[in-house]
Amino acid sequence: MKFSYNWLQSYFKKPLPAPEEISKMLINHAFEVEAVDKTPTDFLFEIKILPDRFADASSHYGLAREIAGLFGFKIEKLIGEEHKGKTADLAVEIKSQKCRRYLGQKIENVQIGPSPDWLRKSLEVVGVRSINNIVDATNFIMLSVGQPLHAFDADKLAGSKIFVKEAKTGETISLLEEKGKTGERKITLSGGELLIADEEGNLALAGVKGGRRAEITNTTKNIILESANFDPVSVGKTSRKFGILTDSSRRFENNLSPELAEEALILLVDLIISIAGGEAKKTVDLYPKKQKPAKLKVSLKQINNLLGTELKSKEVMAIFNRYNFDFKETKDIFEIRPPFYRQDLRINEDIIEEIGRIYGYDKIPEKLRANPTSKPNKEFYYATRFRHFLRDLGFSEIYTYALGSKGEMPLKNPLAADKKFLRSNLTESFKSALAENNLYLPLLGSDEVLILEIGKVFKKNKEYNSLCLGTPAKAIDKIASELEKKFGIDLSEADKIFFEKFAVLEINFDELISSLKEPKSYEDLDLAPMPKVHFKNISAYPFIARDIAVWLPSEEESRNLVKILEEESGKLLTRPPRLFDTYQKEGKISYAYRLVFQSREQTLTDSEVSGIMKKIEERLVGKGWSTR
Amino acid sequence: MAGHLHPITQTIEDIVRIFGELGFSVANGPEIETEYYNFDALNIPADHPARDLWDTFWLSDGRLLRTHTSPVQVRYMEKHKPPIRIIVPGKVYRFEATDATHEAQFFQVEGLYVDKNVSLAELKGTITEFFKRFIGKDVKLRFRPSFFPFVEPGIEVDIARGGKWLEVMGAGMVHPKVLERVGIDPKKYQGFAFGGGIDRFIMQKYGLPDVRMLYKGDLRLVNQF
Repeated sequence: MKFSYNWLQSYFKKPLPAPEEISKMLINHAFEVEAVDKTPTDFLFEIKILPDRFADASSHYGLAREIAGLFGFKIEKLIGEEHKGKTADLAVEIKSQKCRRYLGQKIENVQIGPSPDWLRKSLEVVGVRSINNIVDATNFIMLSVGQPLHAFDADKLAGSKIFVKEAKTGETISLLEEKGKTGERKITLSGGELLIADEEGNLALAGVKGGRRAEITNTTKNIILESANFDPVSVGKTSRKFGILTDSSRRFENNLSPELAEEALILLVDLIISIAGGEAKKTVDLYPKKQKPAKLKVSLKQINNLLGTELKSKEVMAIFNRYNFDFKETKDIFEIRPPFYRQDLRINEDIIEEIGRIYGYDKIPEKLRANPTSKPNKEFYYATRFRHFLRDLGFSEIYTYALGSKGEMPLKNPLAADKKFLRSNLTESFKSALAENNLYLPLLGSDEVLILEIGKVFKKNKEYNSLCLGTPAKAIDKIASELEKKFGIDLSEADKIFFEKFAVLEINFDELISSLKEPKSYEDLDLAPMPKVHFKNISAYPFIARDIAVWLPSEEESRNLVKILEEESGKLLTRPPRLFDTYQKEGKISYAYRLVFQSREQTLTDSEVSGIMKKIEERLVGKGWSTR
Repeated sequence: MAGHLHPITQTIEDIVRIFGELGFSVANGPEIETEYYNFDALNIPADHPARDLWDTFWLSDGRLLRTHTSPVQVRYMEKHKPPIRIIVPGKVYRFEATDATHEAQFFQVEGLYVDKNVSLAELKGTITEFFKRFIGKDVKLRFRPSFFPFVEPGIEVDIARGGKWLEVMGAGMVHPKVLERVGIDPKKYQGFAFGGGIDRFIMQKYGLPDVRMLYKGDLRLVNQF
């Protein structure tokens, strides 16, 4: 959420610390500040308010309250003058328990028009478009204190009574359009959604979005303001069902305090009277079940026991005082009544978290238990041993996708048409992995592809670890028998397929190791630290391989030959020249090397590579060496 | 000529080695989970906005692909009495559009320690010691407030890298409701849990430009490790 530095400053008499300092304090003790941006006249914070704090801190005053607590500053009280007429000229009836409070107030003869500069600018800084003075005032108070507010055109209502009720199946409502779109947005309700309505029909999807019927326009004269509180689950369900996520729905979803509604309406009416004039009528306030204040009892011992600290009572009390918590202390036991806006504080651990984060996690000591022991895990042990054994035989390990186009377990919400199923085997992915890696053999500096994977596969009502090996066709039987010998297992039941010049063997790994003995420790596993590797990105361009065989007078000269090959090939050589053949005849030795060329920027042409080969040959001639 | 192990395997082996020295044993669990183990038992009720934090793949039979390794905490606590000290390396799934830094499948490692008097100070000590052995003695860590429904207090762990802080782990003290559900008395026992992504860590450590490269079965990547 976006917060303006100047707006936050308006709640303090003393100048606030620099934005970076506020940011650092918030990150360490409250919320992640994702960015601090300078604007021509202000600083803009982008802050991730945590879900449990959304209700109390996702507003400028709420965040200012947090800043006041963290820095120990005095925050100004929010003062709005109460405007009240003798009569309400408005009636409200709540017909559902999903409405926890409803305040309505009518203002007559407002002067609708553009907002004053300060208001327009305040909204624009945090990315809210100015519409007119009435709508802007509702947005400004919402962003100030966190209470969603709504204004209806009173003259568009049939009668003077508002109902808060649940929708019947098949009812419709026409909603205000989203930003940048025109025309009507009519939705059909499935029943149970909370609605604001009058005698004639629906006015708003409660807490989610206003309706078209009583929309504020340039000709509006009389308005009805709504400051209400709706059930978080109901608002969340409705907004998700129709995909209408609004600033309002998000706030209600996170369990706003119904206590907030009254204060917000007073501030709103006061602001509207000051910028748009008009005469306020009497407030209607229906509040069927008053929010019960929480009462918590936590001991200093419990606090220190969970945090691992040695805090004193007076340090804890200093924190409570900074945050204006109502509390009593007797013999290191605290009785706390959190403020109404902190509905997230319900169990002792919540209070202990407050103390911990405000005190500072950086100040909490680091403790470690001495001489702990651990037990080996059979699955991990054998998976590791199989992998290491196969690696030593020349296998490389791959991880393939668990989601694919075939399988026995379909997904209800696949991401793509080719990822509709959980895989039922590894063999399918191994076919393409063998074929693809076979193309890269020169780049890999290898003659054959040997790959392995141990991973979950999913059959109807059964998931298990599968072991899969991919090899040249002629190699598979020898490898299988080496595995059988090494681990005392039987692979005769394994699924084995041959295709092109490859073979794939797959078997249920869990069953395979079930009869093997329990490991006593990991000592024989040789678990190593992560390797130090300078990773070179894979080039997207094709490579060209060339072989060269040279007659050398002695073995020692081969080092000089490699040096020449490397020097002339330069950066285009992807890996050190690979010796693939030597041959001795009449006191001379022939050395055959494979050179693999590839560019990171473009497709190499044959003539570029031939140019390099020509230069190499010139150097060899200079040395008096001949090629074969 | 010896072959190469996948970097995820090598990372998990290192993690298991270090946590083994710190007294944590490996535990596993299924990748297809029920809503109960993935959400409800972890204090993430249906219709709670917190569920939006986990974009979920659903199966047509009502089950789901685990969105984190945390269900294994619950399964393990159901069957074992404290003291409990486990780590859970494993594959998890998120229903989200893939790009260079997001993949629908990735690996996490989860940790859980439940006993008498296990404190946040021990959480800090254990995680710090792990990163010292994993990354290097002079690793710089930052512990800051966060929110996960199954812990209270909730903490985010960052490490300093190249003048920036990188999020590497979520952690916190196991929520009493989670303990209650598995029949462990939260008045007698308490503990901490932590979890972090392995793929993202590998990506940053080795400078991989695209996290999806890890699942392509491509030896041009694997054979560099």
